[in-house]
Amino acid sequence: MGYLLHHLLSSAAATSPERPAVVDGDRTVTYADLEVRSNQLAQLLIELGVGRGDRVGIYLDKSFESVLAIYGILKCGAAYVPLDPQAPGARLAYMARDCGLRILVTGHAKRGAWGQIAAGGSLRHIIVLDVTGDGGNELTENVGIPILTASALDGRPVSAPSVESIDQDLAYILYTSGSTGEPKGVMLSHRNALTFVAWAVGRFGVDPQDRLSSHAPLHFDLSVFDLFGAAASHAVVVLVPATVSVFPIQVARFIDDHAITIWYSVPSILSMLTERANLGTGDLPSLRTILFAGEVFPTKYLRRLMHLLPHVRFFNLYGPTETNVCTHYEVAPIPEEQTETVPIGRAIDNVEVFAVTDEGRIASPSETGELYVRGGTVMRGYWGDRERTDSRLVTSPLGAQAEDDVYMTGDLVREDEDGNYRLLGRRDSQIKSRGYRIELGEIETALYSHPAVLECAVTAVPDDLFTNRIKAHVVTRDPVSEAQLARFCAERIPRYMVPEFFELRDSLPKTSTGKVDKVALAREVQMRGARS
Amino acid sequence: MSMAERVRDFIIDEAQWDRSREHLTDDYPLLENGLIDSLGIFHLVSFLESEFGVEVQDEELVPENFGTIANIAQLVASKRS
Repeated sequence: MGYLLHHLLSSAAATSPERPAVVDGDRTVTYADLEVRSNQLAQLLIELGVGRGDRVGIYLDKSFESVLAIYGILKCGAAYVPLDPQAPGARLAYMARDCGLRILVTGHAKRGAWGQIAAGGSLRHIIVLDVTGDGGNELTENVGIPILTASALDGRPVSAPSVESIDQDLAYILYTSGSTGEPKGVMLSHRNALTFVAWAVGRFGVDPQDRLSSHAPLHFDLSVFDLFGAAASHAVVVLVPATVSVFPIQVARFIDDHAITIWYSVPSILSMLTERANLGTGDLPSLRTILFAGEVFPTKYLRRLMHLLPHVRFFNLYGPTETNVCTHYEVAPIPEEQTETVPIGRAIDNVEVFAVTDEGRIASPSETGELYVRGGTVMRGYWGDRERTDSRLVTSPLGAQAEDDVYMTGDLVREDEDGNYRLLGRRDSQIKSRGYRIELGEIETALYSHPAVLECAVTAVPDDLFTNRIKAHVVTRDPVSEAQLARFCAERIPRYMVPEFFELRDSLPKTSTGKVDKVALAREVQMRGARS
Repeated sequence: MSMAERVRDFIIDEAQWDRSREHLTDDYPLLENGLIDSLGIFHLVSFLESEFGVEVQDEELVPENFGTIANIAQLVASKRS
C-alpha cells in the first residue's frame, strides 16, 4: 500500500494505468494521466519554491482539477489545505493567513476572492488549473501576485520528484468551526489517513470493479475515503456535482446512471433520498454499500431506506475530524417500534477507544463517559495552537501500558451489552447540522461584532431532516432587521452557520449567576416552535 | 407584486444575496451559483406552497423547474392554471 498517500496513486498507475481514476461530468481520467499530470504539478510547485512541510491551498469547486491538485501538492512534500468553495472571503483570508499558504491552486470561477486571500501576505503565486495559455496575466494586476495557468504544467518533467517524506509528515489541514470565533486547522498526517484507508478498503472489500461516489466536499473528511479508498483499490471515483444533491430524484438518477456501488455521505442527503426520490423496493440495483457519517441518522428514515434497498449493506462511521473515522457499526435490521438511534459501534483496526467518567475513571460498560481515542488516526494537533492542542490531546489515562497522547472527543457515550458504543450527546455547545460541525459560540462571536448587538444567544432547534436548525436570540440597541443581521453573518461565517431564525427581543433570560440561560431559551423554542 | 418579484424577494433573503437586486435577473443561474442548496430547496418549496397555494410533487423537484427565477415562476404558473 505504501506509506504516503500519493503512493496509492503511483502504485495504481503502475499496475492499472488505463483504468479510470476519476469521472468528472463528461470527463474520465485514467490513473496513468492523473499520475503524469500530478507529477508535473509537483515539479512546478517545487520550482516555485514549495517544499516539505509547506501549505498549499485548494480553492476550487470539486473537479478533476481539485483531485489533481491534491496529488500534486502531496508529491512535493507539502500539505494540502482545502478551502470551502462557498465560504465568505473574510473567512478564506483568515485561513490563508493562519496557516501561511504559499500557493493557491484555484479555478477561474473563484477569481472574485483571490484578492482578499492574497491580501493576507503569505501567498506567492496563484495557479489557475482550469485555464490554459496566459489567460491569467490580465488578472494579475488586480491581485498583486503572479498568476499561472495549467499551461505552466506543460513541459515539466513527467516523473515524480524525489522528496524525502515520512508518514508522520503533514498531509492536509482541515478547518472546522472553533468555539472562540475563528475556525481552527486540524492537522492530519499521511499515517492518520492511511490507517483509516487501509482498514476501510479491507472492511468494505473495495475492489477494482467498484465505483465510488464522491459526494462530500474536499474540506470535509468524508472525502478522504472517496479519493484515497478508490486509489488504494484501483477503483474509480465519480464526482457528484453540487447541483445534483439539491434534488433527491437527481441523486437517485446519478447513482443509476453511473452505476455507483459504494455511496458515502451525510445522513441528511440519504433522508431526502428516502423521502422525496420516489424510490421503489429494489431500486438502485448497482449499489452494494452505503456508508454514512457526520451526524446521527434519524432511525425512521434509516429503517425505511433499508427496506427500500434490501440488497445494500449499511455502515455507520463515526469520528470527529481530529480522529478521521475511529469507530464503525454495520447496521442490523431495525425493529419497527425502535426509535433509539443506531450505535456508533466499535473501534476500527489499529485504533483504541474508551470512555472516561466525570471522576476520571475508565467507564465500565453501561456507565456514561466521554469518548477518548488513541491510535493511528488521531490528529497531530491544531495548526499554530499549542494551547488548544494540549487541551484536547492529553496523556492517556490508561496508565503505564500506554503513555502516548489520546484525543478527548467531547462526545458522551455508553457501551452496550454487545460491546458497541452509543452516542448520548455533547459536553459543550457544539452541534451538527446537515453533517456540518458548528460551534454555537462562533456564531455568537459573529453577531457580537455587529455594532447594534447588545446581547445574543444562539440555540439549536432539533429537526428530523437536518439534525439541527439554528436560531439566534438577539437584543439590539438600535433597530436592526432580521435580514440585515443574516446578511451581516453571511459576510463572516459560512452559510450553513448563518441562523435560519432570528428573534429580536428586549432581554435574554438569565441564570442566578447572571449568565444567559440557554436551557430556558431552548425550552421556549421547544414550546413555541422555532419561528415565533 | 408579480410572482417572479415575490420569488426574487424570497431568494434575496434566503441566500443572503449581497449584490444589487437588478443583478438577480430572471435568468440568473441559481443552482450553479449555489443560491439554492439541499436545505434551501426545501425552504423554497414550502415558501411556494404557502405563498401561492400549490403543491410541489417529488418528481417536479428537478433543475429544469428550479434553475432560474423564470423557471420557478413558470412552474408555479403552470400549477395554478
